[in-house]
This record gives sequence, C-alpha cells and structure tokens, in this order.
Amino acid sequence: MDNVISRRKLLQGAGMLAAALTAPGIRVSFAAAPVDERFIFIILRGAMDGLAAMPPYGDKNYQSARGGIALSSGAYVPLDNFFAAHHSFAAFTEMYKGGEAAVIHAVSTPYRERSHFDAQNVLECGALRPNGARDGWLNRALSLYGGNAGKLGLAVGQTIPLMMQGDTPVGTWAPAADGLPADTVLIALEKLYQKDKLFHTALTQAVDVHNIADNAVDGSGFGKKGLGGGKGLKNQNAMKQTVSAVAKILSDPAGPRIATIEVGGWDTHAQQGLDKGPLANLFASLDAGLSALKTELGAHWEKTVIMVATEFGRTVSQNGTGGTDHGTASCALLAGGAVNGGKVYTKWPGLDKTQLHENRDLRPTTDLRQVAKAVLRDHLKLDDADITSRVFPGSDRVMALDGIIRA
Amino acid sequence: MSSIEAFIAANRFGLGGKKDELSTISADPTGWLHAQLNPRYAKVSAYDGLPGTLEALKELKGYRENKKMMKKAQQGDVDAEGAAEIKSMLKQQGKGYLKDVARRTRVIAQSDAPFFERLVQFWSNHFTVSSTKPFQMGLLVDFEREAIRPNIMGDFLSLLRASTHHPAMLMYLDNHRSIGPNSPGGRMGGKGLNENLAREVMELHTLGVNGGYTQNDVTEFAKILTGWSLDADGRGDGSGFFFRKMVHEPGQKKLLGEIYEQDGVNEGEKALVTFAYHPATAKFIATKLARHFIADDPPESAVNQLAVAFTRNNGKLLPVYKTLLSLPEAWAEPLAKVKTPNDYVVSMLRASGAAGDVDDLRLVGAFKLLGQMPFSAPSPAGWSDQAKDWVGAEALLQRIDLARKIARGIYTQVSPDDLLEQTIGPVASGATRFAVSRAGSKEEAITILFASPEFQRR
Repeated sequence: MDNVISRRKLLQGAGMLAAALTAPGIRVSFAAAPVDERFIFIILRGAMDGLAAMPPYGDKNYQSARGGIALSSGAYVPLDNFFAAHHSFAAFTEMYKGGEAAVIHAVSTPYRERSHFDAQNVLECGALRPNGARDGWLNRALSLYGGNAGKLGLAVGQTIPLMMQGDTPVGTWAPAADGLPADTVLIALEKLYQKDKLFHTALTQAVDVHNIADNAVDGSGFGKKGLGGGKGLKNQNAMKQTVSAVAKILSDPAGPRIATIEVGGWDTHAQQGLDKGPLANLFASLDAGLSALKTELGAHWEKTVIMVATEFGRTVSQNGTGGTDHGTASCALLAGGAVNGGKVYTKWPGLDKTQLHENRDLRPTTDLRQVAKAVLRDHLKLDDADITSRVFPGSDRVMALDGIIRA
Repeated sequence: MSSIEAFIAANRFGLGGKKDELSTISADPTGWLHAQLNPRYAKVSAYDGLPGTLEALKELKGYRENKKMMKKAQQGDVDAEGAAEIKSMLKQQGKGYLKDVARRTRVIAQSDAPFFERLVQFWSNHFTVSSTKPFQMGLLVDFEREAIRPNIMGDFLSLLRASTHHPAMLMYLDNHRSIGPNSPGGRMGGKGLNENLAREVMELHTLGVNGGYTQNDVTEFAKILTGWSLDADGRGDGSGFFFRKMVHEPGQKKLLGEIYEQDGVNEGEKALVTFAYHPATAKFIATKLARHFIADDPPESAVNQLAVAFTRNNGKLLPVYKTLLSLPEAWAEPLAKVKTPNDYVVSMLRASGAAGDVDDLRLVGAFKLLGQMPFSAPSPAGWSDQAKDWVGAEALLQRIDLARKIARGIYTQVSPDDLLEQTIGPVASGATRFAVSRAGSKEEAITILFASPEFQRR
C-alpha cells in the first residue's frame, strides 16, 4: 500500500471506500515531480521596515536620518563594513556568514504609491500596476512545468494568496484541529461538487495535501490555534511548528516543491521599538522560521531557496509616534543552500535627504522582479524567454539579478 | 411551496432561512426585504442597557494603569497577591470581548430583519475596526452599536462622521497619537504626524485608492485631523470624542486643491463633507455594495445604477438600498456568491435554531476555526467579499468539519429532509436531495446538507 495514504483510516481494509476515493476526481498520491529544487516565498504583509531589519550602519546619514529609531551598535551585528542585521536575526546572520544567506537592499516592486492592498496586489500578480493580471506570478511560473505542474505548488494557510492563484491548481495546507471529516461524507460531497468547480477543486486538493501532511505532522499537531487564517504567525513557536511541518511536506519525494507562507503584522505605525519591541519580536519570529526550515529540510536545504519580501518599505525617518509610515523601498532576504550568500546585493541609493524618493523614502534601485526572475531562471531552471513573456509580462528591460544563485 | 425568489431574498440578502422563513416570505419576498429598511431595527433589546464607549474608555484607562502596575510587579515592586489580582483584571478584558461577539452572533442568528443585519455587517466591515490592536477590544462592538447601527438608514455623511469621530476608529488607526509638529504640544514634545487614519479614510472609507488624491493630500489631511482624539472623562460632548486643540497643527492646509484656513476641528468636518459628496466615493461605495450582494466581480451596469442613486440622493442610503433590490442582476441565477465564514456559521445556526443553546466559547470557536473572528479583520481594509479568499482547500475542510459538529448537536431533534426544504428547498439539486436522503446517518445527512453548494452559496 502506498505509504502516503497508509495512515488514512479509510484505507484500512475498507475496500469499497478505497475504490471510491481512487475513482476519477479525487487523486490520492503524487507522481514524481518535474523539478527537485525547493523554493519557498515568504510574504511579509504590512510593509516591513527594511532599514530596521538590515540597517545600513555605515551610511554617514544613517543615525541622523532615522533619528530616534536608529539602532545603536549593540542592537545589530555587522554583515560587512556598511550593512548589518538586526540582532534578532541571529540564525539568518549565521547563515549569511556561512555563505547561504544574502540581502537584497533598496528593492521594491514597480508600484510607487503607498496603499498596502494595491502594493501587495502588484507584488503578487507580478504586473506593472494593481490588478494588472488576474492570476499570480508564481502560479504562472508553475504552469511552465506543463502536465505535472498541478502537483508542485503549496499555499500554507487556509486559502491561496494571489501570488499562487491561477489556472494551475495548487494545494493548501494548514494545521487542522481534527483532521479530515468522515470519508463517507467526503465521498458524497465529492459527487455533489462535481458541477461546482470552486468547491470541487478545493476538496480535491485538500484530500491530496492532507494525505501527506498527516504523515508529516504525525498527529501531534498544533493545538487548536492553527495559522489564524494564514495571517498571524505571531509567536516564534507557532512559526517554528508550522514551518517544520511545511518542510516535511516539501521533503516528501512526491510532494510539492514550491510554497508560499504569509506572515502579517508588519505595519508598524507606532512604537516599533529598537533592540527590543514589537518589530524585534517579528524579526525573531521570522528568524526562528528560517532556522527551523533549515533544520527540517535536512539534505534538501542544499537545493533550497527561500525568498522573503514585503510590499513596500517604510519612511526613513520616524513619524510622530515612534513608528514609521508607508514608504517605498525595503530589503528582501534570501536563504538556502542554493543561495550565493554572504553578500548584500545592492546599488545603495543613500540616505541623504536629496537621495530619498520624494524626500521621505528609501529610493528603490532594484526591482523585486529582478530577484524573482533570477530565482526562476537560475534555481528553478525555467526558460528565460518564458519567464519574461509568461511570468512577468512587460519586464523585457527588467534583467534577472546575476549571481545570487550558486552556479 | 416556497419560490426561488424567496430563497434569494433569504440568502443573498438575508442570512439563511430560519424555520418557516422561506414559506412565510414566499408570497412577497421583495416586500419582506423592503419592510426591513426601517431605522426601528437599529434597536435590539439584547443590547439595551449595555455599557458604551465612555465606560469602555474608563476601563481602558484603568487597564493602562494596571499594565503599568503589572510591569512594576514583574520588577518585584508589587507583592504576589497584588500581581495576581492585576492579571485577572487583564483577562477580564478579553472575556468581555468574547461575550460581546457571542451576544452579537445570537442577535444576528435570531433576527427577524436579517437584511438589516446584513447591512449593519456590510458597513461595519467597510469601516473596519479590529482586535488586532488588543487594547481596544472593549470598544469594538460599541463601535458597531453606536456608530453603525443608528446611521445606516440615514445618509453616508452621518455614517462617515460617526465612524471618524468614534474612539475605536481613532485608536485603531492611531489618530489619537498624531500630533501637529508645529502645535504647542508638538513643539514641546518633539512628536509629530501619524498618517494612518488620514490615508485610510480616503483610501478605504471614501474615495478609494484611485480616487484622485496624492501623498501630499494624505499628509495635509493628516494635519487637518491632528487633535481628533478621545477622552475617558467625557470632556467634549460626552461621547468619548475629544478635540485636543493643543496638538492641532496650526496654519493653512490644502486638500484636493482646496485651501483650508485654520479652523480647528471644523477643518476635518469640512474635509469629511468633501469626501462624502465626491463622485469617486459614490463609485467606490456602489462597487463595494454590488460586490457584497451581487457578484465577486459585479456587473458594471449594476455598479453604475447604484452610483447614480447615491449621487442623485446626496448620499442618502435608503434609495441606494432600494435601487439594489430593483436591479435584475440582484435576482439573477446562478448563485454567484459564496457565504463568508461568518454568514455560513450564522446560516447554520438559523437553520438549526441552535443559537440559544450553544455556549459562548463554541460560538466564538466556530468563527476562529473558519478564520473570520468578528472584529478581528487582519487589516483596515476589512474582510474580503470574494469567494477566492474564503474557499481554499483547507478552509473548505474546516467548513465541512464545522457542519459536522453542528449536525452532531442537532440531529436528534430535526428531520434532514425537512431541514433541506426549509433552507435550500427551492434550489436543491437532485444530487443533493439524493445524497441527503441516502446518507448513512442523520448526522451525516445534515453535514452533507450544510456542506452542499446550495447551502454555501447565495
């Protein structure tokens, strides 16, 4: 019996049910995947303050430009003689020093306004403007794998973020309280849903992913808290447990290869803190997640790229309430054994008032699509021309960032 | 026999059929909806005598002081007994919120005016306040009771004003912390502006993101709004709103091309009037209403007619709702919308008549399970009105699981076939009827009914 489904009660001798589940409509196992590399995109919703995460402590204007939210030397660890990591990024810093993590600084999408929702839409749909595409760029990338593409994508959370939405089916997974409902009910519903594509697709994927996840989590579970609708991975433990299970799902030989994880809470308008505080806690939680991914991916870490990005940055100077308002450029992080790390990739725009975007924001000098294109081309081995024409239309002049993936 | 129109009235515009609702309204489904467009439904006896915002603000003040004490306690300055007492007081705050949410759920699940309650929910979501900032938990349900319910049958400006003045909104979007840099308060403390409320009023409450404003307008409106704050001691008009002159940015401002001379709180009032009557607002509200009631991607003609009704009637909302009910698209099949988790839970409660029997924790637990805890939207944009954001694989399993739990609680008291007639009778497919009648147990039959596309759609 296929070990992917062996834990499912329904197959323990219940021949009739097994036959029903293997009937067309519900797939019970994955075929071999067309790509062995792993790619995880962590979406930070709310706009992460990139200057707090990876402070340019060597910029002569850093202290004066940030004022009260400038970090003192005890609150960061230098990455080189110009950039540092907030001290909450302990695991990331270690990866960086070991050559398997990198920072891309002063990046943004092509979007230049300051609405979270439009900006997230651009980050995820991969077009030049909000609602410029109806599906997500990562889903379009999956489609390039052709026939087997439907088995590659995994959205962590109860629903699929725009980045993963599109014609290619993707699975979703979140820690469930009680596992699957009774098999008889699922079988009856599978029939009822046949004329309702929305429900049918969702049910089919749910059954697939749970078959693997049941093995991964091994019933020990996450308590009843789950992912908070995919929005609130707030504490480090929840983050660690969730990503550990995700890593196990991605480690399954026939499981998905490409996943999205969403982390909210980055909209720090007030009292964001310095070495400690709400933002430092978010950094620590993200760091714990990266660390757990490395541990749990084990041998697959060598073939892994994790990309962490946010919809835009925040104002360089603090606002009137110890926080920062919506800005433009931020930083993106890369981690994984396949990353050509130990480097900050940037064309640093500077923090002098005259160097800022609209006199208030870090000016973007790298397009996030340059990073994504490099990952798709150099890590996931997708065709360069296809990436430009099908994944990021209108990006002919947006060149993949060379060298960020190990040759 | 009940009609398809009755099903649509009770589901697309209502919250799912209560016992006998479909058959009762079948004679005149539209008349039933029109009759609910009446301000008298704003008052609900279950809400009588509850403490309001001012009380909540006072509690909050105490809570803040307690928190300070708690810190001291952690540093060892308060004895163990004192620390335990403080801790239990803090816990109380969260419990009050759960109680509020459970009470509201029962009100909605038992309401005889579900269309009115849908409109309350629509506006409550449009003007989102959220427990994602936990210190204001005590104010969230007050916000809906005080700012939303009494105003949804009036005009949009009153609604906008009530929302923007309410302490819950001022706190949620940080305006109580925003300080004019050149005001006496700003010069003293070196503090400054916070743009959050200014931006979201324009982007999310009125003009919409493409409403034709610039970053400069946001900054200027933020200056205009400095001083819009709250006060636990009832200074000002006693509502909790208080204009702090000392932090209001002095001097002239320019918003959407118009000069605002220095005029204290009136500057903000004037700006709200401008936003309320702006054509971009009419279009934005029309789009959201159409998306909420008609289709995830609403037909343009429907949006246009709603926008025209909004503009022609100077933002009076009653004619807009009436226009909505008159649109052929609003009564069209197939069932294009999927119930949000909130409405799905409420529909099951209405169908089963179980709202009174379920304890608070279970009620609230259902929302948590499906990821839509009332007053906890993840962002100021509120909950999504599109199925793609609610019907992922995992979310569907959670719905089925919840259906099973409710079915388990009620199967001894109802007949699945009767329940089917009462809820989805007019639209039930042969396959659904067959599956419900052939299910292995009454529990499974009801689970399948509640999980059927006809029950989840509207």
